[in-house]
Amino acid sequence: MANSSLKLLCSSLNKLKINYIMQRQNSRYQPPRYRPPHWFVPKERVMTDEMLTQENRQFLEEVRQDKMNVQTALESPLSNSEPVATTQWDPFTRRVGLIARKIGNYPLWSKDGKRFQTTLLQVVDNHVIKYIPPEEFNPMVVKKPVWKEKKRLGALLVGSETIDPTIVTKEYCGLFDSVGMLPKRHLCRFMVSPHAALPTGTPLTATHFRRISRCNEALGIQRYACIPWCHQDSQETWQHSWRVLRGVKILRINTKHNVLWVLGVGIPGETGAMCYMFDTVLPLRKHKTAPPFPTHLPTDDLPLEYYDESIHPFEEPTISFEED
Amino acid sequence: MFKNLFNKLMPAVPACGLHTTAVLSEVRLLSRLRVVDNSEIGKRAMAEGKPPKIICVYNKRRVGFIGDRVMVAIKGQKKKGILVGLKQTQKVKVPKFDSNNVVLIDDNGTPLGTRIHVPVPTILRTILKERTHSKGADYTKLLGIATSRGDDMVAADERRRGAARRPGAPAPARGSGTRPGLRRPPAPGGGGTTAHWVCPTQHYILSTK
Amino acid sequence: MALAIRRTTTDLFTAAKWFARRDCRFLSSLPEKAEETAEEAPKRPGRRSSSRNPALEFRHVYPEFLPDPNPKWRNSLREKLERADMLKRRNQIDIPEFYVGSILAVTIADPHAQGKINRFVGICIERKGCGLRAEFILRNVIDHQGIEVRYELYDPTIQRIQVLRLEKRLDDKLYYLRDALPEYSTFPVDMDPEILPEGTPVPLNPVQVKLKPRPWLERWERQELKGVSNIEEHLKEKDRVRRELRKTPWEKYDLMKQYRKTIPEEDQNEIWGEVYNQLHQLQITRKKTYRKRTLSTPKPQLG
Repeated sequence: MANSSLKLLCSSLNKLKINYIMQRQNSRYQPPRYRPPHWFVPKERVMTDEMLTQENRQFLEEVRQDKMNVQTALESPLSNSEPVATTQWDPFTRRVGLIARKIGNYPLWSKDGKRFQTTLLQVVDNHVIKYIPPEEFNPMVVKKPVWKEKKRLGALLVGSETIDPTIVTKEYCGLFDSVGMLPKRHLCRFMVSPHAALPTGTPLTATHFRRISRCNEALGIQRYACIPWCHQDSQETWQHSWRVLRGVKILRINTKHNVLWVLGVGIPGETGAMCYMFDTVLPLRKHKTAPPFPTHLPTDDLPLEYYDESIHPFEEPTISFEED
Repeated sequence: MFKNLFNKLMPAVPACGLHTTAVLSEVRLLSRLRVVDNSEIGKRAMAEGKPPKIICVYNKRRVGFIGDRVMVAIKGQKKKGILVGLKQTQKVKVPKFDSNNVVLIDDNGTPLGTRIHVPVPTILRTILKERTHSKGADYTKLLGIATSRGDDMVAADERRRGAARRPGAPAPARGSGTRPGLRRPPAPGGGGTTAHWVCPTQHYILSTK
Repeated sequence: MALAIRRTTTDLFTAAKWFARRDCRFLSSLPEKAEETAEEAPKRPGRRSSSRNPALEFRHVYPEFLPDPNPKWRNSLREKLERADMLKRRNQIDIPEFYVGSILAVTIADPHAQGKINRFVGICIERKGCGLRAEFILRNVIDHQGIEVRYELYDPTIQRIQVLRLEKRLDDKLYYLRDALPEYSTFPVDMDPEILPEGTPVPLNPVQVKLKPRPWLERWERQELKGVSNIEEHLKEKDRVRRELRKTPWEKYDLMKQYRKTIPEEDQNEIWGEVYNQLHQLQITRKKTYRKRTLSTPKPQLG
């Protein structure tokens, strides 16, 4: 009975001309043409049902908690070192970016009464993992071959969202263990100038982009299924495509939850997708004055919210226009 | 059982081979409009049941929006007009009307009638001001003949609260370039004088008040 | 929208039996009326009222605090931040309780108007949107011209929202007023606010509207509208037949559809737990100012 109804299903679906969809998707399908970077290791491991006793499970849980507590209690190494040691910012230095997660959209109003749709991006638990100086850094894919000769920029590995070490492979954990950190869900490499390098374990917060209305780029992952009728269960087999959005404006920053409000709804990815944010290189929208360099130190006495001048915060009284 | 249900829900040959959008109620070429001023030609056209039809929308998109100039064919003549109210869903705070309204004007922007008997959105003021400077014809004259805009509700409110507290003086004329100062004729009680006419889009008769 | 509450699993089984006996009452957005609770009392004495959080009643009064149930767009942090912003705005201006069918007067700061203030009076025909996107549409007929204006509840240019008549109607959306005789949508612009004595439940206006002859903007006969009286006299045989074919009587048994459209009770409890205190405070201050205003300002003498 099940077979016959399945057959019926298949025959009806054939009549709906599924082939057309497949062809269309296939014509766009391009297999990924990259070699993973040298620091890339497979992340997810096959989870077997480990026969742990209750006490062992509790012990593991305790160990995990302790490690987490140690990491969160760890102060930013920057706060210890003297600020004199860091060099001054100049318009050509590239500083580190952030990994943020898109958490949704909602409207904000300007002081003229105009409504903007804004996207909320949350900077979750970003820590610097490793710095690779320019001499050692050897990327596989380089757009401009000239770049390889004049190696001026180093790479800074930043991770976001600490995860449970038991879920991931040993090699992946090894990446982080060598620097004494718990494994992170997402890793990203940011090109930085050598004097913008940060020590390992520095937490990065949303106030890194503290200067409101300074725009930045967002590089996001957009996922779409390549062939709809394949048996796809895990997200790894989904196609990734990178979309770059340049010159995105920040309208508001919340320091408590590390959330950035960004103008527009075209931020790549769906809700819950990660995107990488850098300082913009667009000439008209670059930083003119020094941003927090190399990054903003997390202090306790920060105002809760930073607003752009054009945005009307909800705490202020109702907008009214004066007669000419 | 399964087969029957399936065939009904996903027919092999679809019943209708069209894709349609939701109702947009756009005003474009050959749309019929309702004339809302008391010009002779307008009144006669609406009374006969032959409302003006658009023959050109002066717009890149050729779709009319509020404040757009249009050319209409009315009683065998070509006249220009300004769209003052649309059935199309508008942005927030911009009013949406139950009929597509037009006010007839001539080439200089002077309206052909002397009164507009329906409310007119306030956003027209900003739109027409912008248009006026660029083209050389003054389109804001029609605001002078509009009897009630949104802010007239405030006037009604003030009158109710008592004219003793605040004198019901008309708003001071604001000199601004070519535009004459706006007179604010007193708003009539219920509505302006309207002739008997039947609007083909709405099956009801307006009565004089 | 998320006006009804999702049932727990135990309730789902009992609900299945319950359907056979009566209509899907919990699809209705109206709070349980007096006669309903009396009917249910012998079947399930006191079980509902004790297990429910009294703050849940706020889902009818402030429906925009509940987020969009689509799981793709749900994120707890964003919803928290949105609710915080909504409360901040409510601290600045009093956004009163109103329902579809109430008559409101909205004053906004309009940069285009002379005098920069614009006031519109109308009946609320629709309320939609969640969070800061919440909108409502007011309809009125002025100078024999039907006008509808859409406003956002949390727009900072809105200076005042005044409820002139607080009442509910038989339907959730009153789009049929566009095809109804104009007297049902006409409200005087200088209407006085009608004050209800404190503690009275929101009155339900059982008015049945008469429609104009066809053509209509939508097929009102296919939507189950309770507030329209004379649909049948405008229908032809073809319409009646088509209506029967189009009917979806199985939809009221579709529990998953209902589940997907609502926010579960546990989430709602959390949400209302966060905002209840502040909203309650605002309600109390509103009542106080209301009382002061009615006592102190005398009615202006006419003539």
